[in-house]
Amino acid sequence: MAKRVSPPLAGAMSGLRSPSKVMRLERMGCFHASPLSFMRQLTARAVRDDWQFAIADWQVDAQGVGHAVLRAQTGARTYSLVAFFHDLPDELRSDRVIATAWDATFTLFDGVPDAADLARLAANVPVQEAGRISETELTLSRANRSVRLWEKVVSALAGGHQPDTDELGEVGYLMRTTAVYGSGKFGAADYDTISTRAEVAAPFQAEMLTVYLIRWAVTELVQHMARARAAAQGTKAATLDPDIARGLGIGNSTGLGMAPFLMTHPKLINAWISARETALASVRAQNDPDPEAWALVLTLAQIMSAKVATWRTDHPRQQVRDAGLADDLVRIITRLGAGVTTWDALINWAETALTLEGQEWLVSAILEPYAAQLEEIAAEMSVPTEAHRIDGQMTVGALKALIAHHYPWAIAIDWAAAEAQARVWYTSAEKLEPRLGERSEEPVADYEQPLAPGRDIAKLHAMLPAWPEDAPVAAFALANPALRHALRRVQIIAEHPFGEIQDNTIAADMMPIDLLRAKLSFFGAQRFDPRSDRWLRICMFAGAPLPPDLSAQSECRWPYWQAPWEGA
Amino acid sequence: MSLTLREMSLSEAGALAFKAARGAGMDWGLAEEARASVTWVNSRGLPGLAALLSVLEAGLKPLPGGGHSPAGVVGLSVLHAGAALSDHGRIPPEGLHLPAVVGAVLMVPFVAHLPGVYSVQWGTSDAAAQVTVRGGAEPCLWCAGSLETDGAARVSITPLADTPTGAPIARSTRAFVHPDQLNRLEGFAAATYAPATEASRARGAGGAD
Repeated sequence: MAKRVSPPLAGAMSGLRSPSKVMRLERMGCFHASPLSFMRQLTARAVRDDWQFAIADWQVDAQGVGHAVLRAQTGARTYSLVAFFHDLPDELRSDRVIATAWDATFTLFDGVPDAADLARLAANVPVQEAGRISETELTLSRANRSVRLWEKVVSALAGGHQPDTDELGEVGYLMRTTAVYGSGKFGAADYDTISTRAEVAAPFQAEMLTVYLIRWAVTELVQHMARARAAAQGTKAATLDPDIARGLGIGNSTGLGMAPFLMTHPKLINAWISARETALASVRAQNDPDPEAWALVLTLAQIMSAKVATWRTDHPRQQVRDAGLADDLVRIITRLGAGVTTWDALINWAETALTLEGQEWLVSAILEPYAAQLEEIAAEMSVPTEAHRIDGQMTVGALKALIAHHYPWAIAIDWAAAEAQARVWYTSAEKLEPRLGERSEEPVADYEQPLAPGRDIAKLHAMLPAWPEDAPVAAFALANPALRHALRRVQIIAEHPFGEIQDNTIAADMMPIDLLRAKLSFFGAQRFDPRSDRWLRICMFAGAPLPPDLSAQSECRWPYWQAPWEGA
Repeated sequence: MSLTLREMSLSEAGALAFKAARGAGMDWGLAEEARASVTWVNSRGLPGLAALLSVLEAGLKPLPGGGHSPAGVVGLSVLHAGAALSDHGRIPPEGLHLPAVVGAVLMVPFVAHLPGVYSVQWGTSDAAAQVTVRGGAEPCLWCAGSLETDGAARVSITPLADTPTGAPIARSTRAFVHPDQLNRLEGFAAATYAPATEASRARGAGGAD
């Protein structure tokens, strides 16, 4: 086993990369999953605490219509995925949030549902936003089949043979979720009501457990339909190759709805980013890396190189990035193969020799040998949701100093320029979802959401010189209520410096997919495939052992497990 | 009015409060205070959303453009006053007395984060309420009287030497509101939503929106 890392830096900023380096959208749009990612935290805890999984109920007909209950017994508690499988005509299948029907719908029930619970959920979960769930439900989700793969896999298995792995590799999943709602949405339990439970205290654990169980349910469903079809033909279906099943993840389409989260949760984003940066600093602080750890990262680079070769995207910017990452991995393999130096020297070299994709992959990769020792850092990734009170006794002079320290990038922007305020974040009346409009082309400026902190804090900064240095900001806030949110923001970021994206979030050239990828990387997503500048597809849990196969061995570094189509 | 209360998660109630306050014309920073105050009040089993509705309906005048503004409030609204009190960080020994406050229960969270013990009283000619707050990191509340006072109430916040002897009120994990009050709050919130245009439909938000 590799050497234990240094203790967490306990909030000290020394040794960390600076927020001005890390919190740039271009770099955040190159973040990769790491051992701190929430999917990894879930599976690691499931192994550590010996969670037990079972299919408790399976009432599905030959056409794949019905319901199922899949349980996770975590020790003290049971969580049940209640799945409803539907017969959805092809013309109704849409990934957009305007859809009203799906191939499958799900909720994660807190405990074991009885008949009355199932009846209530059957009336509400299939209609998603049009229904209501309750405090006994933790998430609400839905998924659509991959049109390209589903029928091929069912018919292949029903015909007694395995599906074509090349086709599987191109898609990577049999179903993709189009939303996984949690934390109080549509009547579900708030995160605060479960935050003291160790098994779901880390961020998004209820959502990750939902997706992990959905993946299992989907695997069972495709097998069930193949068996039913074969039985109707008087034949026997093939059993899906376990390696194929493991290699398939759950897809996800994610659009602008997720993007504002990074601006509206600065304390939480700070917790996530600073955890990763603290882990990185702890590893870099080692002066004599264990050769085994060094060799492991070399192996991971070789595996990653094989995986990247299978990635497909039609987005020109991502094509360039993927090609850059592929080249970077060749350089990394050469560098690591030349002999052990130090992690710090390796990262310093990467910053001059690699693209941002390569740099950020390497940051995540050198944490892998120490994954088991990052638990203490991972525990800092959740924060209470309580509101932030303004410190009204802070002086105007102190506030000015904070802005000068944390927001020089915002002050430097010419906000009068049209391209600096080209975009408007707003909420659409049609679907109550976030949208990004063009200020000069659409009548949406009156509906602008407060998602341009740089601009608003620059406004605040411009107002302060008229006030005495020793005046309390309470007086300023009373006289300037329109800037109250900006004042609060500065005080939050002063204590949570990795909570602010140091870029203009309403600029003409801002790429929303960078926001999405940053968040999804912390979930543990893989195969980032932008479909436009505004939405992307990803894969979740690909390579993770299915619940019945979960063990310490199979769980270890599962994102680097290679599927048959990845050179395994 | 339907007598069946609508149950919501606290985060739903807070999000609605934020949007409704903004839709009524409040600045973003004050809308943040509305969200925090309503969430806190609801988490103590008290009628936070109903109180916010009374604030928005009592103090807001339609503007020619179709929006609303809190400019019609006489003096400071409960949220303005609460925010100012919170920013100031202390209550003078002689207490704080406000002549006409709508939605007075929303003042309680601003008092509750101050260290010390305070009495928050409000009343009209018809009803009176009294809340004792032991503020600080783990605030506790003791309530008496009808908390759903209609109209503007005189509010007095005074320091106390001791906490009551009885058990404080229990925390609630859910918010409850009358359906018609919910509809009226959603009406305020709707003012924050941009009507769809052909351009916005065309741009959408991507495959998953």
